[in-house]
Amino acid sequence: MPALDVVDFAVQLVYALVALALCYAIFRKTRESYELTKHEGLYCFRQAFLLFGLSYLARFLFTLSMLSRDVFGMFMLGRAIAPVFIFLMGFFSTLAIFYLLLGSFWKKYEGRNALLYVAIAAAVLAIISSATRSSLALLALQSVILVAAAALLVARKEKITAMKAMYLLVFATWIVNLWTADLAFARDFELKLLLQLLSLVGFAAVYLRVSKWIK
Amino acid sequence: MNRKRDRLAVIRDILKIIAENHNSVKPTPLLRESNLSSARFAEYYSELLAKGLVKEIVDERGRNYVTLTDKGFSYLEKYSQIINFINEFGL
Repeated sequence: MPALDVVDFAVQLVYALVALALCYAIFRKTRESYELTKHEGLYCFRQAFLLFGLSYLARFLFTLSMLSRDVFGMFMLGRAIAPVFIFLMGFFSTLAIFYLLLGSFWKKYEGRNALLYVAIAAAVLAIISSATRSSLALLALQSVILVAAAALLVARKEKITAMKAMYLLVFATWIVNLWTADLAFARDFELKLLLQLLSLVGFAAVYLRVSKWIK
Repeated sequence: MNRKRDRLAVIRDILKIIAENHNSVKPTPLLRESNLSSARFAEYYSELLAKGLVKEIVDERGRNYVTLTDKGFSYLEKYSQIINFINEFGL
């Protein structure tokens, strides 16, 4: 049974808290603008970051459940709880990704129950991932969405602004983070740390841009 | 300019008319100055009331006036910031 790596555990905890704090700060910062305008794009943008924050929290809890299984030998507990966190992680993150995309394309899908359809799609994807009891199924399914989103941007000949590129970066780093969430597949501490720093830089960049316009 | 931007700009224009008339204007001159059809104006006017950006007051002679609320003033003040933000993020 492997020993508990205290440094790694501390890094995971700090990482989850910083990501959650940055996402929540973006959500809070845009509250007044949304309340004044009720702009649908703004709604999707805010929800996406709130959901990303919850995804990072669920990711940390999933890592904890893996620890309880691998380090503390609590096989039954880990086995029972892990699928719940995979479901939450899958649901929140898939919905966050869809909301980020809808934020850019909402004018084309206005009034077509798009929010309901993406919630159903996210729930189905989360159930499939949870049934496999591994974050890798979620990783595979979300990778397909990432490729589809990138293809959609290219096919529609949409102008790829710096912010859209940043969205794709946040999305891509989340997918890589899924890979590092499962301890069995992520032993390289330095690589994991680098990827985590990269995703925090992505969120911090979005927060700074938001702060630039909304005082 | 897309429809949503237009909508935010129309709201800004209506609020600006009220502010420029010493924050008190009757609905009919407001309709005239807003350059909208009656139907569209009614739609926007209901929206502004529902969102709490404007309110109706009745004077002692029973005449109806429209004034901006604090939220309405806040919208006017932050309009440019919000539009820049929406453009920057491609929303």
